[in-house]
Parts: sequence; C-alpha cells; structure tokens
Amino acid sequence: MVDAGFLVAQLVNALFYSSILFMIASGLSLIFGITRILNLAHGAFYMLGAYIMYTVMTALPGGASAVLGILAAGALVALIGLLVEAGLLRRVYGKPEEVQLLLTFALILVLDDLAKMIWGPEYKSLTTLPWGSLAVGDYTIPVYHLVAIAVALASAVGLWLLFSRTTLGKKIRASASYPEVAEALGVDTRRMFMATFMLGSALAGASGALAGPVLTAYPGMGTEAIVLSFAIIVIGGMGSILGALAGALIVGFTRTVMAVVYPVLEVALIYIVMAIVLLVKPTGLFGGREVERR
Amino acid sequence: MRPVLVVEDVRKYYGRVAAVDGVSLTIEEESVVGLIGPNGAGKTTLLDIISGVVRPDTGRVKLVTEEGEVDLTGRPISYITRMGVSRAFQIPNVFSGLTVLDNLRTALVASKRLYTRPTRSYESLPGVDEEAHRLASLVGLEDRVEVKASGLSHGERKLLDIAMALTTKPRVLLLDEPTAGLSAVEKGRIVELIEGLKRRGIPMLVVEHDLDVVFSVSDRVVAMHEGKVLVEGRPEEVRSDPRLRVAYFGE
Amino acid sequence: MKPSDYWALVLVFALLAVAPALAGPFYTRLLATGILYGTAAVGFNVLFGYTGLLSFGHAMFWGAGAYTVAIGMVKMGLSFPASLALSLLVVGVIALVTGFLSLRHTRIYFAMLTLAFGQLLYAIALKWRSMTGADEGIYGVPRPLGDVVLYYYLILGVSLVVLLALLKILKSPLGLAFRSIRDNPFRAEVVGYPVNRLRLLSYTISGLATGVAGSLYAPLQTSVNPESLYWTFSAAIVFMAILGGSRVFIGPFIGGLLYVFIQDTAMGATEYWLLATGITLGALILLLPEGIVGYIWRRLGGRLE
Repeated sequence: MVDAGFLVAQLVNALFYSSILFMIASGLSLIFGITRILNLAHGAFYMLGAYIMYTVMTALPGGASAVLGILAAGALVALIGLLVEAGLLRRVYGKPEEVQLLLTFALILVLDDLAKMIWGPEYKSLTTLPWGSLAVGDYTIPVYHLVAIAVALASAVGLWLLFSRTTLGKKIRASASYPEVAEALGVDTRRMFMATFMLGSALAGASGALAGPVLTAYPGMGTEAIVLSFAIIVIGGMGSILGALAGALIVGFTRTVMAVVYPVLEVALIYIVMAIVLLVKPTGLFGGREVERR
Repeated sequence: MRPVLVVEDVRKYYGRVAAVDGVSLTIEEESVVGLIGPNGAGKTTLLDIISGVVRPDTGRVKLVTEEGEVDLTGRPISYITRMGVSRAFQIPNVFSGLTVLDNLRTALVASKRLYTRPTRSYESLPGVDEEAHRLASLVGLEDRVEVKASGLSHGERKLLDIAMALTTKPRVLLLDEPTAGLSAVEKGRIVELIEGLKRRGIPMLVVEHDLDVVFSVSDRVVAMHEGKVLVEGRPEEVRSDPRLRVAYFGE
Repeated sequence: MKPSDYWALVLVFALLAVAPALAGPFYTRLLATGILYGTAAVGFNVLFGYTGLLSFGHAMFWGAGAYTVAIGMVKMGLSFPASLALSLLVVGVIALVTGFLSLRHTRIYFAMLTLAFGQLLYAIALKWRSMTGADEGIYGVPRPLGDVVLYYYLILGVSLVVLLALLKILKSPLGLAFRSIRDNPFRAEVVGYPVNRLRLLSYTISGLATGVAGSLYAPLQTSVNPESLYWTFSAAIVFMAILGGSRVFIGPFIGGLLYVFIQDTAMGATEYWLLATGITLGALILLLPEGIVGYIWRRLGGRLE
C-alpha cells in the first residue's frame, strides 16, 4: 500500500535533497569553469555553512534566525573563500592539477580540524525545524524543506540571469575564455576570478546552512558531499548550470527512492548511473562543448 | 606510375563552413605532390583527414599496397601511422621531455610494435639504436642525440619531427609546411633533406607556403582555394595558370 | 657517482632489512605499514609520474586488495597465498572495468572519475554487511607466519619483488611508451602507439601493484575497515608520491615511509594531527613541489624523469 501522502512527502524529501546538492555542485562547477581549479575543499565550505547555521540557530531560536543563519553562512563562507583564493589558490593558477588538488585537499584537513576545535567532534543537530509543517494525509511536510527548495530555485534562476543577462556575467566569462582580450578591454580578470570564487563559496555555505538543521553538521560531512558533487557534474556535464540541476535531481531522486526501495544500493546506484551516462555520452547530459580529451 | 595514396572526394564541414569541399587527389610512387593555396584553403584539414586526426563527413582515403587497397577512412591515427602514412607537423611536434635519441627510439618502438616486449631494456633493443643514429645523421642531428628536444632550436625540432616520421619506413610522407619559420640556412637544410628523400623514392605530399621550394621539389602541384582544388598539374603549368593569381591576390 | 634507480632501491631495502634489529615491535610494525604505503605509492606513480594520469581513486585498489584477502581468509577459509591470488584477480578486474570507463577522459576529469569509482567501492563495502561487515569491517584476519617481525620480512620481500618488476617494466620499451604518452599523447598516437590501450595497461599495472600492497596490509593489521577505501586515502597516496617525489622511481616509496612517520608524530603530538598534516602538506606542495627525494636526487646530479 502506497498512499498519496507518503509519495508527496518523499517527493519533497527528494527535491529538498536535490536542492542542497544543486547548490553545492553548481558552486563547484562555476568555480572550476572559470578558474580551472577543482576545489576539493568546496565540501568543507559546505560543512562550515552547516556549523554557522547551527551556531546562529542555537543562539537565537526562531524563524527569523534561520534566515539570518543562511545569510550569515553565505556571507562568512564567501569571506573564507576570498581569503583562500587570495592567500592560497592564486599561487597555483595554471600549475599542474596535482598541485592544485593536493593544496585544496590540505585545506580540507585544516578546515575539518578547525571545525572540530571550534564546534567539537560530535554531531550537531537541531531538535525542531523552524516554520512548522504542513499535513498531507498521515504525513507531514516541513515548511523548512519548501523554503530550501525555493532558495535553490532562486539561485538557479539568479545564476542563469547573471551569466545570460548581465555585464558582470559576461566579464566573468570573458576572463576565463579570453583573458588577454578581457584585460586589454579593461576587465580586471583577477577580480573576476575572486568574485567567482566568492560566489561559488557562498553557494556552498548557503547550501550547508540549509542542509545543517536537517542532515546534522559533523566534521567530514564535506568529504562526502564533494564526491557526490563530482558525480553530479559528470552526469550533468562540466560547467553547465542546467547540467548541475539535472545531475542534482537525478542523484537526489535516485538516493531518496533507493533509500526506501533497496537501501543496499542507495549510494552505489548513483555511481552506476554515472558510469552509464559516461558510456553513452562522455561529456555528460548537458556538456555540449567538447571537454579536453587529452 | 602506380598510385600509392588515393583521396576520393572528401568533404569536411565545420557547421556550415566547408573546410574541405570535395577534394580528390592521387599520390603516385616515387613522386612528390606539392599542395599550395592561401591561408584557410583547407590544406592542413586535408592532411588531418589523411592522417586520421579529422574524420571526413564524406569521401574515402585509400592506401594502395602490394597486397591491395586498404581503406584508411575513419581508422585510428596509430593504425594509419603503422600502415605507413607518416606525418611531420607545421609546428614541430616532438616529445620535448625526451632526448633526441629517445624521441627516435620511441618512434621506432611504436612503429615496430616493440612495446609489447616488457623484458628488455629499451636502451638495448636490437636494431633500434643503430636505426635511431642513422636517422639522426640523415637529418643532420648526429651531434645532438643526447640533447633534450626542449633544448633544440626551432629548425632542429623540425628536422627531428621529420626524422620521427621516417621511422615507419613510410609508404607516404606528409609534410606540413616544412620550411615555415626557418632561417635561410635551415631552409636549405630542409630542402636538401626533401630532395634526398625524393631520390630514395619516398612519395610525399608537401604543404608549403614558399612557392619556390614547392615548384622546385614537386613533380605535381595542387592548388587549393576555399576547400576545393583550383588548379592541378606540372609545376610550370600551375605557376603560369592565371587562376592561381586570382586565388592568392583576388585579381 | 650519479644516483641510479637500482642502487637506490638496493640501499633502501638493505637498510630496511636491518631495521627490525634496531627498532622495537611497535616501530617494526610502523615500518611495515610504511613499506606497504610506499609500495602502493610507487604503483600509483607508474600511472601518474610515468604515464601522466592523475588517479584520485587508488584507495580502491588498496582497499579491494585488503578486503579480498580478509574475505578470502576469514569468510572463505582460504590460505594466504590463495587469498592473495584471488585478490590480484579481483583487483585486476576492477582496474580493467574502471580504467576502461575513466580513460574516456584525461586530466582533471580522469581524476574525478577515478575518485567517483573509488567511492562506488566504498559504498558497496559500507552496505554489503554479510560480506564486508559494513562499517565495522572484518576482524580476526590471521597473520601469516604469526610473528610481526617474520611478517615484516615477508612484506619486505614481496615489496622488493613488486618494485623490481615495476622498475624493469619502466626501463623496458613499454616504459618508454608510457613516458612518451605522458610527454605528448597526440604525438604518441601519431608515431603509432595505441595510446588508450597502453593507458589502460599502465592503469592496470599500477592498480595491481597498489592492490598487492593493500592485500598484505589486512593481515598486518589483522583487520580491514571501509576507511581503507575512502577517497581521502586515495589523496593520501597522491600525497606520499608528491612528498617523496614523483620524478624519481624510489621517491614515492620514501614518501610512503615518511608519511607514516609524519602521521605518527603528529598524532602523538596533538589531538589535531589532521591540521598539522594539512599544513605540512600545503607547505611542501608550495615550497618543494619536486619532493624530498627529488630534491636530493637533483642535488646529487641524478636525472629527474
């Protein structure tokens, strides 16, 4: 017996989870697309967002503080992103991949332990979510989940508008595609890279803030999230916002459905889907441009 | 004369732009075909099609061997190379981290398929080193064998590139602008080398901007314009053909 | 005298052979771990340093080796040699399948794909309770020869054989082919190498070497857990290779030994040893990108790959 309330509740769960994933993965993909750095510590930024949310919400309980928490997480993590970009990553633009990857990996170790120092090693969860819930049949749907979905949708639209409609978006793109031309036309490509890194990091922070109260915050939550983001990017196609959206929905729904139907394959199936996409379309579902083959 | 390489009506479109638009071409035994034309005429794309780097939209590329015709269209680059269609590049394409000797060794190992023998040291393969040294002196790099390719001059890298193309004992050699960017002295060395190869009967397709070089080394010249063959014939015929001036100068 | 790969190998193994006489059982065990980490890192470097492909999923070979030996000995009642043979088979199959798929891309995409496939294995190990013991892993793996010191010498011997075999391959025409592909894959294709097949071969050899090391690790610890498959261990293997130096054959091996001791020292000194390791790693990457052995090697007049 499957009733409608159960289905709706699960649908909202899946959409909520997909929203979180979309925000992490699109930030990662955005940063990579522009700066060519695959930031392994992007997951750690997500973790920091979750902790910041926890701190804000335990200090001032209530619906308004949740909004504050999300904004604070986005802003603070963007600030951390700025420090990391200007202090570390700027040294390794154009360097071999292993140098970039290991440097951002080192950053994970540092940030994970810093989080442990500040917040302790135990899992941090909130007993109640703000804004109550709606009843659908015998099931309840937290309003919080709906808000998170709305935030993710708004970021998707925002990103799309930024890159298709604004001069800033075009300047950022040009900085990545034709850096010399952009410089010659008076675009400060360094600042564009910085802005991109901050924007991507803010997405990770906000995503962590939205996830924290539901999925709990703990050291190491970032290392799990980052790998799922890779799967999403491979499935959706590198550098495509639409691809990140599609990939996040596929991963989010696969996981939610399998958790109910056959939990043994809950995570494994994601990677199997990824392998199939790779076989059928190596550039990912929406990866139109030919990725580097060699 | 028996044909060695036959290109039949190949086409390659990028979007709606035809890079190569229905080109047919035959290279015969012991003959040198010069391929000329203004920038963007489709010369390099044609070489890319023959060597398997680019797959044509239509048309065929065939190699004629003693055993019969072999269709090369759409086959992997490495297969086409091993079948004896070798290529040297406009911008010399060598293994810059390896020495001149190792560049030649690796090309020989690849063409003789010796890489499946994992037991011997690559420095002591029978025949390989003698052959590598022979090729090095053929192109005049015998004193530079221990130098890393990244330490060679542009002209020396071009010579090494051609020497590597010769490791397969090619049935056909494709040379893409062999004298581009060279000094007069280096140019002389390359022309001498091409004439030497010609005397040894290696069929060649030479893409070249320096028309004096082309007209002196070629038996036949093909002029391309906007993806099509414009004029074809003996060097003196092509040189005096008014259509050539139109292609280059738009007169 | 310029340093040579063979002599460096002989020297290091001679020192390791006398080490247990000087070190107590604790340090002997630590050294044994270091030897296995080092062997795994040299295996990784066949693909990375010599073929030019960065895998971020080598924990999958290490962990698959460790799990197969543990399952073979504990669950299937096989002898150690039989389990080791089974483990090589399993690792080989995993390498061929994941390599075939991952090699559709190179560079950073390849790194991401190997990482993701490593996580697939991790997810399986975490969920397949009846076979892998889920998050608890498998305990009570018998240690061949019983005694830690005797097993140390077995590890030392097998590692030496693996390293000599790898060195032989790298000095052979196949090794030259790998290096050519690293240097310029397009030119390698044009001189006639079937580049993708050779990359898959390198990937498989690399995975098998790392897999052997992992297979020997389970009996050393007498247990195995999912951490051995987690991607952070893949990153640790990359770290070991860079720490020692990926441009020298023996570099990653020394990197593995150093890694174990850095980790042990950091863990003994502070609760926040990850932080200490992270700062060390970051500093090394920025200040000494050719690695410790690479630096010394160059100073001695040796040739870097």
